[in-house]
Amino acid sequence: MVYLNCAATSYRRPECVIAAVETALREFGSSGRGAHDSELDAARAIATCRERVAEVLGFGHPGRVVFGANATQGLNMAILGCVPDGGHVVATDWDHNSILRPLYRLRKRRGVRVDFAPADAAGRLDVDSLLSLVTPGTSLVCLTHASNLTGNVLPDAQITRVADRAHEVGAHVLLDCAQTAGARPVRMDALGVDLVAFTGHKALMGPQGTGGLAVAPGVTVEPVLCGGTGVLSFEESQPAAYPEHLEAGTLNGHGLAGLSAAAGWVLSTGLDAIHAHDLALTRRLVAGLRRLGPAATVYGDLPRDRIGLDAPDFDHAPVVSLNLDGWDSSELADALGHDYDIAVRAGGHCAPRMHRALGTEHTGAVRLSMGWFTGEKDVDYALRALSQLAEGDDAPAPEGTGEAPDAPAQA
Amino acid sequence: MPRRRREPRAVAAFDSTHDALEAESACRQEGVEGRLIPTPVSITADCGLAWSMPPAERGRFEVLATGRFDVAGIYDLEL
Repeated sequence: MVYLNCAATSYRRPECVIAAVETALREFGSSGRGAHDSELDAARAIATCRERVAEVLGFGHPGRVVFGANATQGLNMAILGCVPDGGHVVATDWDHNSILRPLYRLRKRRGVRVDFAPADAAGRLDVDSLLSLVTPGTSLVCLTHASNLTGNVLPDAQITRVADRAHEVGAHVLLDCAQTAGARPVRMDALGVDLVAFTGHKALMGPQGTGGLAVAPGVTVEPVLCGGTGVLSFEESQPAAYPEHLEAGTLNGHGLAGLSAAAGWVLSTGLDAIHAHDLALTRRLVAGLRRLGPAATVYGDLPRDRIGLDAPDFDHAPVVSLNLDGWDSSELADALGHDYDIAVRAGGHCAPRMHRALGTEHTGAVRLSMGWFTGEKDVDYALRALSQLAEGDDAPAPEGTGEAPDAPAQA
Repeated sequence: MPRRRREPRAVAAFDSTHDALEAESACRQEGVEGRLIPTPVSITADCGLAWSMPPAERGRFEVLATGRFDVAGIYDLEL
């Protein structure tokens, strides 16, 4: 199997992640619910996880890294907890349904106004237009660090511009790092963003069911969920102190033990090294797709030639979406999966506004996405498969790799 | 032209992944031929799974679905 659906979840995990989850399942008590070694072991593992995730995010306040089930939960915590009734939010066409649907709910039920900064037909975000939407009375600006459909990345300088403008009017900035946390440095503190949502199971390579929200000091987030925290049991309201303020109920200690090991592995491997690896694969994939000619429509803001791809300022998440002439995108995904054993993702990718911007609302697209355990041979195999499918070649399917022999070694 | 040979299929669409998996489980139990595929764009460009089967299985599938899982629609397609 060649796995090119890393934007949905990582397929392989470092062995240390698997071992950490197994140990936690055998040995952990409940974090914050007792002082026996078994409970303290769980609490210590989660504390270590906060420190490592904070470092991955470039955030100097590990105690304000709040854990939940995924990035969606982190985004909901931020959006539902930061925006007052009748408030104003600015979001963008890049945003995933995990931002859009909470906003649509706020608009419908709590009179919140929502404005969207548009993307053009190449998926480029108009940041100047976005800045003009941020006005006195705006409570929150939602940004997506990298589009889960095109793979385009919002440059640091643009994020900082938005953060500066938002802070001028007293608004907070929420950055959705579902596609970037663990895949590149995020630099939350340096960017000046107030809230960063992350998931544990994609580039961070932790278990599914882990993720959350980093909340900068001074930012008020009302808890969506209330309940047990292991502290201040006689108080009627949720404790004000972080992280318990936003962590009602027993945490997924077993999963977070795995995420801690994964974040440690990412840090020891190096975020810059992971980014460079992903970028090289993206260049290879896009260059190969360009060789297919007009039969392949590749979406997003991408260089048209090898010179542009090789330029030092080329930046992109390891996510590429396309359609092939003559192919229904779902059928193409099925052919890749069923006939060539390549896992990809078709459909709407939970990104309806971006699909509308790209003009693919009614066709969908096939997304190929890569990660640390993707190798050059995987990319080449997918390119050969796409080439055959584009040309209607009756030759037998190319031999699968099934492995990523040039992928870096396990930790 | 695509390399695949197209053939008539009856394709059942679902509003939830749970229903799609219920359908797969039921069909496997009862020997209804077919497999899960990404929902064809000609049905909807949204995400989701569909059950693709030979047209001759449609009747058995419909009987099987009754009371066991919800089907959003069954479409006659060339896939």
